[in-house]
Amino acid sequence: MNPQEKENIVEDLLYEASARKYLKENKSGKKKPIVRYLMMAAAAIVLALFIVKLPMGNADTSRLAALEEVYSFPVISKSRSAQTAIVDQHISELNTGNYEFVLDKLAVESPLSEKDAFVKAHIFFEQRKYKELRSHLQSYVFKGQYYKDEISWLTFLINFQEGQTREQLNSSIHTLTQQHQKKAKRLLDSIR
Amino acid sequence: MTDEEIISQLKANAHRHDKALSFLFSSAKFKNPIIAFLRNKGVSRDEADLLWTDIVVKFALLVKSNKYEDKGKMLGYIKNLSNFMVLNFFRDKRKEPTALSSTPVGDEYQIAYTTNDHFEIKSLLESELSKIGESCKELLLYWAHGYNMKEIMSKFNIVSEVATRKRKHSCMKKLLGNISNNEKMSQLLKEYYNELKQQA
Repeated sequence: MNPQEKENIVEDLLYEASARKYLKENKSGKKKPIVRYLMMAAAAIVLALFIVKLPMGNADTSRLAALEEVYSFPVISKSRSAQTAIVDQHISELNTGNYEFVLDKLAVESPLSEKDAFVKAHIFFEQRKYKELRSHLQSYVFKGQYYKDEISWLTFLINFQEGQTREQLNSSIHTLTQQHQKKAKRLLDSIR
Repeated sequence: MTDEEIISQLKANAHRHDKALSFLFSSAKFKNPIIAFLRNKGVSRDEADLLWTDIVVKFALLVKSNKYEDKGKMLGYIKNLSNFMVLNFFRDKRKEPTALSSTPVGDEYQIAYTTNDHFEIKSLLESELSKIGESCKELLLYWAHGYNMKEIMSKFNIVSEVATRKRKHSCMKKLLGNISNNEKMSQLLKEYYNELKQQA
């Protein structure tokens, strides 16, 4: 065996030793320091988010529970006025909670009646589509007092659900009707 | 990763090679039947894990040095390799007769001589490597693993590729010198070489 042949065999043996070392290190979960630090940092961030999110999650849940006590989808009955409303043809769907179907019917290009716009707002609220709801309320001007009062209440509810503080909500409570104010106070009491 | 991909990556550069090595090592398709086979032969759980590592390494070496030809029977080949490895393992532990008690044929021939004395050579090499210094040992292991001089240069903070080559050369010289002084290891290497030459 000449020196070169010997070196070749030793190279094979060295390869085996290095491959074993590599597999051993990987098997025991050893990571490069930078990978280990990155993993630790990621774990710390997740933990921090978890700690921060935990009380928020509880607040959301408690607000939702309080909201469910004071809010229910309005009962819609057929209009007696001359103004026709799309929702009049879908009373049964509304009563059975098939809101998605009614929402599709309300997606028309022609201007909606106040009743239609009112129902649309409640469907958005029911489905927790607060962004769409705010946009809908900004684009539609309600004229009837009943609708104005109801929409003020709905706006208060969105603000409550979106996490406004007790002080912020308290400052807008005067815009509500007396009946709604009672409910609003119950909501405020639920905020710790 | 398909069998063909494993083979082609084992022959590729160090990074792709390691990827294939890890995959092969942890893939249930290969690991489970081999571990079950070893356990069935009476090997303990820990020993089976160590043997599996050696089997994967030996297979990778055979592929790397173009001694394995893929005929679509990779698992069968690895099983055959495992059989020889476990027989040699028992022989070393004086539990069973040698792996070469029957005459190997075809692929078996290659495997038989590649795995013969594996455990003894492995421990002797470990011992010789520990004598050349940690830095030299690491450098040689990287080189043998397939890292090029540039990669080794940056890993060891050596000033140039030429200096890296010189360092590798002096480390290798040191190791070969030590091996030459180790009678037992020299003898085993000689036998190993003659067996391989005979086969060729």
